[in-house]
Amino acid sequence: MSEEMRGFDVQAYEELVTENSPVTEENLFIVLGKVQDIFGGVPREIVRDLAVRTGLAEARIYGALTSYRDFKVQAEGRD
Amino acid sequence: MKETKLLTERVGKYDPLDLKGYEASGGLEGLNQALAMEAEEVVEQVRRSGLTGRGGAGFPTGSKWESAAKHGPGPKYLICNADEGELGTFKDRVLLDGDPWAILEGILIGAYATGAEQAYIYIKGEYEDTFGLWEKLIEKARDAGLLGANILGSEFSLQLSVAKGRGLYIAGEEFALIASLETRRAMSRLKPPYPTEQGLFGRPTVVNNVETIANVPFILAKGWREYRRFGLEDDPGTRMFSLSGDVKRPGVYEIETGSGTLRGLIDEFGGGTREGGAIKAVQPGGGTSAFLDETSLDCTLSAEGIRKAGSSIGTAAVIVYEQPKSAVGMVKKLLEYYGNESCGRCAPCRLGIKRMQEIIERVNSGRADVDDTARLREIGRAAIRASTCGMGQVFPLPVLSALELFGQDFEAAVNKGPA
Repeated sequence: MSEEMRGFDVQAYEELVTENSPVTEENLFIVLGKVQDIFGGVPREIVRDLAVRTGLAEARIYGALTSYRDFKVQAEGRD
Repeated sequence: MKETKLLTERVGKYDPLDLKGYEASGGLEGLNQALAMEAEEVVEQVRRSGLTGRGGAGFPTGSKWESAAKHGPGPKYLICNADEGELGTFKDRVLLDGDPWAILEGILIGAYATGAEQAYIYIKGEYEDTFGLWEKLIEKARDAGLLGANILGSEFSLQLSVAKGRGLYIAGEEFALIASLETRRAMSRLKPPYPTEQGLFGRPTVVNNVETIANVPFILAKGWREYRRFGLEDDPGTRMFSLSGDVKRPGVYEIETGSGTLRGLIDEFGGGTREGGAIKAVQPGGGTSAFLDETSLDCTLSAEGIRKAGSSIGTAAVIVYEQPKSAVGMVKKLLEYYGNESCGRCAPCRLGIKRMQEIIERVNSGRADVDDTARLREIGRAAIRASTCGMGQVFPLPVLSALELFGQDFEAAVNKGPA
């Protein structure tokens, strides 16, 4: 069973958001890409946070993410 | 045959992050010329140059720009499509890595001409190093006053963002690419409206291929008349051919349109077939272009020449297949690839590829029945006619042409029976 990603470097995420502020629809795909590249996946909490920031539905972002081969929303492999 | 390095001249001649090196070799002359003109004049220059898109569809670039430029106030976008995904295509990477400032200059000119203030470059995910290079390049460009507000002291402002593709072939299709940048599933849609009417976030958007954009600085620096001295009257300039498959020297070769033949490209630049055997087939325009057999290889290297031979120039990715490959195996591999890449939006493509894959599988394993090749044709033709986007409309072409040219391979496989 694959699991949802748990735990990530909150400070690193906050820095990323600050660098790319304001996060809007115009740069969301790029910000999600950076999240993927930094954390190796996009944790659910981050999807939730970016949904609030952009005003988009969480389901909309999650649905898009999971359609791409190179975006991961679940933990890869084992510890 | 000879190469004409209109676009590739500077590749490898300067450090790709060194703007000074680019300027020293004549870079930014086109941008300076453009900024001294009205935007409409820039569009006119490109229109009169006869430049057509190099990403596969071959639409006249000037007309596309004109269509986006005519819209009044409000945001507009320019997207440089660097999601080079067509099988056999690797020409854009040469420019992105080897002469990136020329691409940036082309983007700046295009944005100025069409009135876009935000541009994107969408780079294929597999090109990791290229993406890293572009992130650094954009910072350097900002520091040099080439991006941001009042570029080079003019009234013109532009932001450029670099996005990385996330592993989907279809994201290279313009509407799917736009959907991707909107953080949606990478799916195409019907047109019209075209992106220049309703593109990214519903706003007028120009989507240009990397190689197309790379032509723009030259046109502005030297003028459209000078540009038209290269290549054919009705298809000017050069084309960068990605040569791959069963050849001794695969690579990217830039050739003036109409100045050589497919056979010349394969024999003189490619060094002939890998094992020295006869050529079975060639796809002249990437993995979705119709096969040509050995008898058609004397066609001229131009959109028209390849069309007359029975295929299309597409992305100018020439894939060579040597004897004794079986057409069944060739088609099987192509369908496997495209079968994994259909976006699933429309049935003719989503289901058509799967059914065709199943039939090819039966043919290959000797379990096909007598009607199976007729079914392949029927499904293929239906997908060509009924699919929404360029992918669904072209993936059956190699299958149909293989049935036409190499029918005996299919018969042999069917008659062989199960192993």
